[in-house]
Amino acid sequence: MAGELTPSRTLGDPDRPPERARPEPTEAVFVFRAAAHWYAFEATRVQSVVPLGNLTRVPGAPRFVRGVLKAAGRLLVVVDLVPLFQLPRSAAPEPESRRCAVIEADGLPMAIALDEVGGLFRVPQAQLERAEADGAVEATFPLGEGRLVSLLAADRLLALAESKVQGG
Amino acid sequence: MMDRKTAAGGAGVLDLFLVRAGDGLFALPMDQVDAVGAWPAAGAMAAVELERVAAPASGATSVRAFQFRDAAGRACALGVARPPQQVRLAADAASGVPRALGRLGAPRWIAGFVEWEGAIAVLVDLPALAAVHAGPGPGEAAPR
Repeated sequence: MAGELTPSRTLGDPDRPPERARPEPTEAVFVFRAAAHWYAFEATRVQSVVPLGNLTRVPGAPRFVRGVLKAAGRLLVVVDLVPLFQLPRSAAPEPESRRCAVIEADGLPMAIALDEVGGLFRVPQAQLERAEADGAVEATFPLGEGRLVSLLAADRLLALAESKVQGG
Repeated sequence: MMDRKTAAGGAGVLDLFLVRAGDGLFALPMDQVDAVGAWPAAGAMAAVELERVAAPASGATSVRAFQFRDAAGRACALGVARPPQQVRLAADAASGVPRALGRLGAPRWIAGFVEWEGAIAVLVDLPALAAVHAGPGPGEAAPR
């Protein structure tokens, strides 16, 4: 994991004293922003965060395919969640994302463009609100300051993108 | 017109024409090219312009033509707006289409990618490009 990520933190009430020796089960997640939305992957799915330099556009590819880049000796497709999820961009112009997270989806390496890195967190499993089975979001959880984070299932994200290609 | 029919370069090397279109870099295998000349190419042949496929917003007009044959052996021309550069690269400079990109709708005319001086060029399969994009050449009447 790149050194720029913030240390792992556990969500919850910081003022609450520890009640039991047995820790609450948690899920380690990597949190990031795309447009105005916050998303996360299971931390074990994220292999690294790399700069989006030397991105090569792929003519004729869907709009959510930002391009390809070489990272750690591998050629990776970079997917942009903003057009994939048809997220509205804020009125204020935002510089194009300069980093991406390398993940593994369905056994294949790929990269996800990041507008902002939130960091690594440990989320109590009790805070995970499971989502419906369809779509790429498998759960949501609160992250302070009124933010609601959507936990993405990497395999289902790739399947969703693939279905958009096949469906036109 | 200059004949450019060249073998793939032999074991371990790739002979390519590199050409820019828009802000992209494209690699054309020499073994698929019959000749390079002025655009529009002489004679009635199907044609496609790289700028229109790869960078439609650029508005650049073609000045050079690569002649090649489509999968059925018909003569085709690829127009390019900028002068090509010949390069010989080690075969390991090329890689195929990443499997995830293949699943996400990469056009079939993209045969892979080639690394050249720190940049990544799109490796073009000319017959596959013609199958998708070639139309009547400049001055050629459209089929009725």
